[in-house]
Amino acid sequence: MTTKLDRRVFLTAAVLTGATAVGSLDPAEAFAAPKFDVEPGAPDPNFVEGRIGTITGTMLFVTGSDGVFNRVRVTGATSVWKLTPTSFEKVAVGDGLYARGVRMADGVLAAESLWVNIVNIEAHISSIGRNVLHLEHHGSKIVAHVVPGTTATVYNGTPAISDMSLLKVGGHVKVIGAWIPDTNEIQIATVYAGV
Amino acid sequence: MSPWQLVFVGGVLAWSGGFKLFARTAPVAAASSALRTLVGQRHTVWVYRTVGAVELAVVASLPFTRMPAVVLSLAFIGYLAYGRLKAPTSSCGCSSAHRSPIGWRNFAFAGVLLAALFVPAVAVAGFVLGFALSPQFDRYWLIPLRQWKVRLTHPLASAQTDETPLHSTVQQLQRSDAYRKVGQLLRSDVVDSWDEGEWRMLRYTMRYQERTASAVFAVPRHADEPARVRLAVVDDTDDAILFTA
Repeated sequence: MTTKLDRRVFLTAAVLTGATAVGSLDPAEAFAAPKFDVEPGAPDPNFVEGRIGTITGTMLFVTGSDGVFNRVRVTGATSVWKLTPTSFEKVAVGDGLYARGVRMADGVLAAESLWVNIVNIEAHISSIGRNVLHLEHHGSKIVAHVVPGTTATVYNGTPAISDMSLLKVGGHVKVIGAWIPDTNEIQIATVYAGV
Repeated sequence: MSPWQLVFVGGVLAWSGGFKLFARTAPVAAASSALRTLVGQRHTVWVYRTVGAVELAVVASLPFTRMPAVVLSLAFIGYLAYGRLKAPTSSCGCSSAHRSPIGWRNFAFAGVLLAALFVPAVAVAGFVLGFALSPQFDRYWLIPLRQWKVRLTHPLASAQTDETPLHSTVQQLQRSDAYRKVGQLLRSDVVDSWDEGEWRMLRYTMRYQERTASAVFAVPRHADEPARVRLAVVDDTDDAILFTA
């Protein structure tokens, strides 16, 4: 934990105190077309989706929804999202994930980004309870929990705010959230609504 | 049969049969109903229309005998049970294209219909019960009732905090020049974030000249001023500051 705090202090100083840089941004590299090495119609080798079966050290063993088995390596440079940007310790067996990274020669995906239990739901609000939205999504019911301090709401595409009071029963919403595994419940990261 | 029974049962069946036979949205209702599983997609619509015609025929027979209506009500309960067991995500599709999975309200409605054929008092109560038990009428009473409750109790009030949501900071970052300069090179989502006075710091992983680096952005935390966003790119292995913006 100390090392993480030290790192933050160092990086903060690098941005805010105007430290001298050793180089400058090479526009040729910055604007080079991104390498796109996927055959048309073929599965993207740099993407993995599925449920975590085992965690050994920093290696995740993942079974995809199509039954394909994958190994995913997480490093200190990997971003881990689970409701909010978080750390690898929060990832648990049974979680679902999407991972993007670089496929190594031995078949392991070296993850650059990991999104754990992320869901994207278009639904109607069928009722609102104490810090909970009851959603109806294609006829199934979803219980969406508000996490005060984390949950944000975007109205009409304007910047996100924490005020949820404009949400209406019967209204249509899009919800990005974290699924609670093996339930019909989610925790809400962001609600998109029109008013 | 009493006039109440005639009007209630006849009214329900005429509505439902008329909808199935003539409504523009009937094929939509048919496609989302359990009939699709029962008879297959190819035959859904004509079977659905035929059921509508049978319902209208039963309405015509009501003044003379209740037997066809009883058989139809029992078949309706059987259909609901089939749908509930074999196609749990499908709708009833009975008298509107409103999508809602078959649940206790549909069974209660079917029960009221059957009971009304024998007990005149149920037919009288049926006008209110039928309205309350049909999901397609929810928007006239249930939704307004729940909206009214929310206005009185403010159940989401505690979600509001003084803290700027992280998502709002990320939105501001994405509108900044600093982010647009290096956006193509970023390889990860937000790795870490922390607050420093008036700034919120966001760290991303970046690949630059075959090196793994941290792109650290400082974004104004309490104001929407994307022009002030600052950036430092730091090599992850030797902590060299590669460039700033």
